Amino acid sequence: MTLPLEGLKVIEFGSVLAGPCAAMHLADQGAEVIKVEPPEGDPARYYAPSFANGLSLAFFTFNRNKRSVVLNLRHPKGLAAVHRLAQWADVVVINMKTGSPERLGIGYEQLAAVNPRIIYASMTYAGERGPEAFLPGIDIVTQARSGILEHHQPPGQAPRTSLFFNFDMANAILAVYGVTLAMLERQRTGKGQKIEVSLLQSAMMMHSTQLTRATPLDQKPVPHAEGPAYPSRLPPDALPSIYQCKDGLYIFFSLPGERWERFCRILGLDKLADDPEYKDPIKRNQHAKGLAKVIADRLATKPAEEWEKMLKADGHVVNVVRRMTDVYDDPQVIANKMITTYEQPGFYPVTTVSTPLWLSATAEEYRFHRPAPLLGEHTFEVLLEMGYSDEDLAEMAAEQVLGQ
Amino acid sequence: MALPLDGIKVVEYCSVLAGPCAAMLLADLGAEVIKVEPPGTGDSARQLSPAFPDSDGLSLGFLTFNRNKRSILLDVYKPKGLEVAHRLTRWADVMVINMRVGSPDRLGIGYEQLAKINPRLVYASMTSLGEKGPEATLPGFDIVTQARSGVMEVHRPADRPPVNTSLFNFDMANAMLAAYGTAVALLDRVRTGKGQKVEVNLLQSSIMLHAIQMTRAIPVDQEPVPPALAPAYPSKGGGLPNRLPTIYPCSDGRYILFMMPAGRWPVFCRALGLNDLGKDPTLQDGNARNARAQEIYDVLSRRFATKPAAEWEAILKAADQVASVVKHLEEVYDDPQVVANEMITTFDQPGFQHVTAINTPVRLSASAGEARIRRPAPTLGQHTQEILQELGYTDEQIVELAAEEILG
Repeated sequence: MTLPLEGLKVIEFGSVLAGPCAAMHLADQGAEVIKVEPPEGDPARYYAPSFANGLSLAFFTFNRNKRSVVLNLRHPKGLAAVHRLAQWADVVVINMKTGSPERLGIGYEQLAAVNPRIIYASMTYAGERGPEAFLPGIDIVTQARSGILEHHQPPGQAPRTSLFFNFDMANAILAVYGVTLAMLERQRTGKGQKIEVSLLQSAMMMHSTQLTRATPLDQKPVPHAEGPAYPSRLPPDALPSIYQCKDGLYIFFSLPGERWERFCRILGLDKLADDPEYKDPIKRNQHAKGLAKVIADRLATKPAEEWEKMLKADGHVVNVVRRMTDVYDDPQVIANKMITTYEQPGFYPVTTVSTPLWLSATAEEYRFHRPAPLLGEHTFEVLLEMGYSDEDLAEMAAEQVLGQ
Repeated sequence: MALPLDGIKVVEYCSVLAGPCAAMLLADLGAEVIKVEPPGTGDSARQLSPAFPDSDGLSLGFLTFNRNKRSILLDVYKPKGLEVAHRLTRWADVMVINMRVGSPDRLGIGYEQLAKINPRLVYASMTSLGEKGPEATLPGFDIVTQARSGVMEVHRPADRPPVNTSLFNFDMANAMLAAYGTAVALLDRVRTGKGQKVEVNLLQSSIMLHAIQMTRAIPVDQEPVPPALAPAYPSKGGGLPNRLPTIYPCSDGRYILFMMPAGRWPVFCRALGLNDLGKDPTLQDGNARNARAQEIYDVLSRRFATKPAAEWEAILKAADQVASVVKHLEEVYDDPQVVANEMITTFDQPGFQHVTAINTPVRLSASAGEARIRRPAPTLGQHTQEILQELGYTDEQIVELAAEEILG
């Protein structure tokens, strides 16, 4: 049984999140990934919490299944080695500021000249055109730019950034979707191409529901900011869906209309269940304050997990508001192997999120075939594979082409 | 010039957000998508507010994820409806389905059942909580996944109850992963000649989005502890008094956010007109600045309060700093980068002014000039007749099906 991307050869010039994550998605499906790092290494190696030898939790998250090669791209021999790698490769994954790859000699045009079959996934901040294309940018500033930060801002407080790098993650998935499509196309055309994704575009895709606008022809068009939009928050007068229970934990439930009666019965609120007044969700919202009090008082009489169990048994959409660490014990996470471990020399098995999709033809083979690499761990091995001799390598090392 | 998924045929049995979005990502890149909708009101997204009453079931939510598709209304519960579904299966390369675990098999459109009819079928199955486990058959949505995955608890404002967001990031991630998995399976099929099942689920997609906070590692020279007790990558940013904030209110009440990469402090201060602060030898180190966070915060706050946020943004960007006004969602439309890179687009929709939507979020150079949006969003069952004819049904057969309420 072979993994679907086995035989696919990938060079990654990735740093921190988006690039390394994208290359990881390919590696997880069997691709052979060579991570080319500058002498200082991927900065994520040093993000806290970190360990000795340039390994950190952030690095573990996105870099299993790869080999690491250190090359000094500012040295002509380093660039020459990259060109040799480019001849070998099918795919390049890169997340750099627009313009930087070209300055280093590893832009799409430059590598396609070496290998016209190359598929080049370019991941930038805000796109490669436009007045600000050359600015640096990361997930957090994209939170500000895309409106997400303002959306989450608690009333009367300053906005707070999120350390959930959703846009980097979305960017990575879209990049590899593009890579796979380009592979399909290359089967037909024999040629590679460039794929472009950006943090800002991925951010907007993540909330495309709220950004779509339409005006019927029989109405006057208005500027987007004034047009009707899909709501991004529950309306203030809606019946709340989060309540505190007896043990201090909160419970969340989603109440589509037809479940109201059964919901009330589970809570032991039979009078409410029978009251015809509240069968209509609009009426319920009109009485939201009063109803919320009744429900809150009731939910406060038992611990959250007890309510959750009863409501789930009756098929309601409900969950205790969990901490992230509770996820490890979630029975669905366990049954579907959403969390996994992998062997890492010097460590107990590293716990991380499993490859987030399953393919039935290879599901049983889902194990990671390599740990996260030390910085430059495979430089010599890879360059020998590329046809360099031991003497070449000794020279390059002496000239600091291969790092310190 | 062709699109990469030209010639790929997709049948979609999806409703609301994640499933239709996944099928749309395939359609945008050239796949031919037939959306099978149940009798009554079809995809329930058609009823989500805001909706347009005289539009034949086109709501804003539906318009967001259903361009580029044709719609057929079909009652798959009836044997003759299932027969049509089987014919569609023989036609298709890909099927995308988001239904409760167990429902597809009961209907006769589960993977094993359809793989018998078409062994080349790639079957993308999108569920809430995975297909195994004690709660696999429970209903689930993006919002409840926020509670289950721990994200809601992290986002909770201090001393207040948790709140949910309606931004549907998990649905979107799920859709993107389904599209990627489908593409991988299509590539695999070139080699093996066979289809397979692709599984994604909301809970897994959501923890993928914060994989960095879920990873745990303990060196062998330390005591092993359960993952929940091991050190984690932070999920909440620090603020005062231990960390210098990076968000400040400006003179117009808007906020500015900036990043403070190492070594940029002098340049940053100079841009703000705070040269002395920038040259202070005791403040060159990030830890040193954090140790005096309150003091520096006060200085910076006073300074930022002297100009509007947009002006500070321009000043900082001119000094090559990473900065942005904390924007409102709608301000994205006018963002010069959004405009220059065509991240927002419009498409024609009968009965409407142009619909404004997110452009396909992947650009492929070999087909960059090709329009991605080639069809509007369909009204319910708009193409039933046409598609049945393409599948080889005669006019008489179609009339019969309609009479037996197979077609709604």
